[in-house]
Amino acid sequence: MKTYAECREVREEFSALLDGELSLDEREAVEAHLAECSDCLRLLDGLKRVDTAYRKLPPVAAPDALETRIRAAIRPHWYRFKLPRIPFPERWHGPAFAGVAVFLVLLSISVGWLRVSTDRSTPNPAFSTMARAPQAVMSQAGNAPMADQLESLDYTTPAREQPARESGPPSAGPVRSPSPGELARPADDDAVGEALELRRERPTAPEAQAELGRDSAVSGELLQKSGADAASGAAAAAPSEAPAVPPQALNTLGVEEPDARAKSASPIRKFRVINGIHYEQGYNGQKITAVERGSPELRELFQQYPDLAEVAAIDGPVVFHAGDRWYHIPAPVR
Amino acid sequence: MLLKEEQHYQDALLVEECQGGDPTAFDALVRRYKDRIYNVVYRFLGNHEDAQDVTQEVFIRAYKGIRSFKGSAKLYTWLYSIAGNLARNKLRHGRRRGRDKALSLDGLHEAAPALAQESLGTARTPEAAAREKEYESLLQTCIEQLPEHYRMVFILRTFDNLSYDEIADAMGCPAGTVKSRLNQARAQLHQKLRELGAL
Repeated sequence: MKTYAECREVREEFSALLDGELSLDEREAVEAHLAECSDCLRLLDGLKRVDTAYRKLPPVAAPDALETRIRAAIRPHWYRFKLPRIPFPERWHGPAFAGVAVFLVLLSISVGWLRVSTDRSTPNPAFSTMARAPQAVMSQAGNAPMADQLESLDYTTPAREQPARESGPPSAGPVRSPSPGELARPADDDAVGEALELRRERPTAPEAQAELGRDSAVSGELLQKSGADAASGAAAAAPSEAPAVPPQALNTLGVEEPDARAKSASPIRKFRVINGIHYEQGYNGQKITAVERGSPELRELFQQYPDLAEVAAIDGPVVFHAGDRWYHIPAPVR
Repeated sequence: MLLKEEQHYQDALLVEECQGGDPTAFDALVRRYKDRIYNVVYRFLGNHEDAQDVTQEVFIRAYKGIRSFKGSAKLYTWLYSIAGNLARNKLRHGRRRGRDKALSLDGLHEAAPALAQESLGTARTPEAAAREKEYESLLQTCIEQLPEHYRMVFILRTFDNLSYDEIADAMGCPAGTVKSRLNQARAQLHQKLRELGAL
């Protein structure tokens, strides 16, 4: 006869017996009890039937749409694998990104403004030295350092190539081309200068065509002499200096627009401002020819070198070069 | 290689790919486990709509947490632990909102023996199929009357055939507790079904 305590102890093992989770010894002990206890055996049989009944239940499959639904629900979380966690609530992400975008825009504007401002206010030791003692500077190994410093100061015109700048033999200085008509006008003070960067936008196709047409009438002979270079360089002719010509002139000159556009951006005039005077890059004490604004000489220069129209537009006295010479035009009369 | 070990190895590979940032690997995990998770959750809640919600949430939680998942653990026990917690929350939430369906076996007292007989038969007439459905519903209702901590243990063992150790991992309790809970769950079900005459 089995006691209640023994039966209770054995019945606690029934599930493990059914699931095969008992060790051999435990199993033999339970089976020995069952051999003598019909109540426990009956209970075990009942539990088996329960287990069988539930195991016969068919598995419930997930609806087909559930996988799609899960994928759609997960997709918004994909970025979390790629980006580091942002340590503030998700509802702040939108405003934060907007703030960052605004900051970057303001930063780029500020950097651009500071660059111009710095160029205007930063003294150029090379130029100052040159202004005090031009000969000393010229006696050094060329003006390459100064040229380097001036690299950041661009004055871009869509004008023609300037062969004289590139191919002319040096005469007055170790780097600059000869200046037959040079007029000595040394920088007369030792004030530090300002930097100025001027860039002219490349003309749009219609503008270039119109300017080409206009200039080709002015300097048609020049175009015929120097070909497409001269024609494209004429694109920057000042409207006041050159009469307009219909675009058909382009065809008669045989100048194609793509060439004109390609060459229009090549010349760059760079200036350094010292005491309010704009000195074109390359000036290091050569003689300067003074030209009055509106004078026939200047007009003739503009016709010959149309890119100078932009030089004349500078608000202030300018020292520039055209051909082999250096010229000075005073500030415009107000 | 044993089936479970192979499954464990393949899971580990998929988890590694997921942790490397490949969302398609997680899709494979979803395909692999959605039915098992859904079955367990449905048996626990007895409601298809809630089961879908919980299953979806299980995979979202798993996706968010898979980077911290350790390869030494079994993926499915981890998924079942998430499913168990969410299903219990869903159950409590439903009870608070009065959505818990009235569980009554009163009406089944007379029909249960016949249902049990029909379920044992092989006749596949429409009537027999309908009675079999009713019997399944009876068994499901009995499960839903179990206490929560007995219910999940019983479901994981009976419907997904997890070992005691695996159930212990999923439930976060010792294997001995699993054994006793499982024993209690079966005893209570046996008691109910006997009362209904369904055994």
